[in-house]
Amino acid sequence: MPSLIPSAERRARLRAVLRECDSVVVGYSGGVDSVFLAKLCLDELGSDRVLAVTGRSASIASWSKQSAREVAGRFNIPWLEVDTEELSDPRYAANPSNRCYFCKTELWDRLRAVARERGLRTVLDGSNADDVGDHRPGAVAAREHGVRSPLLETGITKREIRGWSREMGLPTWDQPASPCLASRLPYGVAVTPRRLREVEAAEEALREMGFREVRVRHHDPVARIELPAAERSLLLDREASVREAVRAAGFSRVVVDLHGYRRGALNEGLASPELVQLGGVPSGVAGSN
Amino acid sequence: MIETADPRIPAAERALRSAGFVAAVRADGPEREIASILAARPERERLLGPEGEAVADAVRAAGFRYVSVDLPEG
Repeated sequence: MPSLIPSAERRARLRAVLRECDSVVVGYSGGVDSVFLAKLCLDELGSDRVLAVTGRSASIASWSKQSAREVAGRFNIPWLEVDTEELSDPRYAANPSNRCYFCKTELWDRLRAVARERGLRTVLDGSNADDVGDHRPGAVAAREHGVRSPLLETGITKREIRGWSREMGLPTWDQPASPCLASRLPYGVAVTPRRLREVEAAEEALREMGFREVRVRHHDPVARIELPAAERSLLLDREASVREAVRAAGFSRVVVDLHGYRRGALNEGLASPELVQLGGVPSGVAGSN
Repeated sequence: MIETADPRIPAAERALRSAGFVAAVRADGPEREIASILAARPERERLLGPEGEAVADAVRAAGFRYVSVDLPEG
């Protein structure tokens, strides 16, 4: 069984990488990985050498922004929000399968500018060993911007991040993954503020009802809900409320996926040349769309 | 059965009959990529239970990307 926390040697290696970075801007979404990384940077480098920065746009859910703000405040992590304008980029808004490349290009442009202004040497992200093999066009943008990924570099897994986060008392240790709202739109369906608002409103309502790992996929005008098997009995109990809440968010029909929640479900139809994976990024793919 | 020229619909409904369901199917989504099963409450409960995934695999084989159960008006 894989370890819950990294060995002392691997922890030391990660700390050494952070010290090597000297002073850092951390791309900070408020999720499990970036919170963990920002707190570890704070512990290792001190508050005058760390700045956690959250990109603010319509593609980021309100609950992610709230988590980012609350955790930074609670743990005294120096924190800044910057506006990002990925929705104004027609290459992003067209929602190609490498959409994340354009979003991350915008984000890392902004964060590098912040790092320059503040005299902070290195920009970091929270990519980790379990991200290898996923479709990650955003990793190309990170590489192009010289962003370092200390968790990935030292082979730290998601499970280890959760275990270590728990040990550090971070409230995010068991937080479900929360990718951006655009990930709920099938590739080719334009990313618009209206669609993002509808997804956010529907998921917010479902979270308030007690659903935890829920995704509302936007197949305009149909909402396709993905839930893990463990949450389906709640759905059957609250069927009418679920339907009304999702309709009130702007959808005309509501359906529930029978294969349930699965990470990266919208990547399932991609042909292999479209896949961009950490550890195997084909050259020339990033800007091809 | 809903009258349709889409040959995937009768194929999907045959898959449902084979599994003991009487529900109908419609194609949904901008590219008609979703098979939506229109089932009464007892069949919805079965579909959202342990046997649902195998049924979904059989319906998907008719040519859909996603298989779902419709949440109808009350």
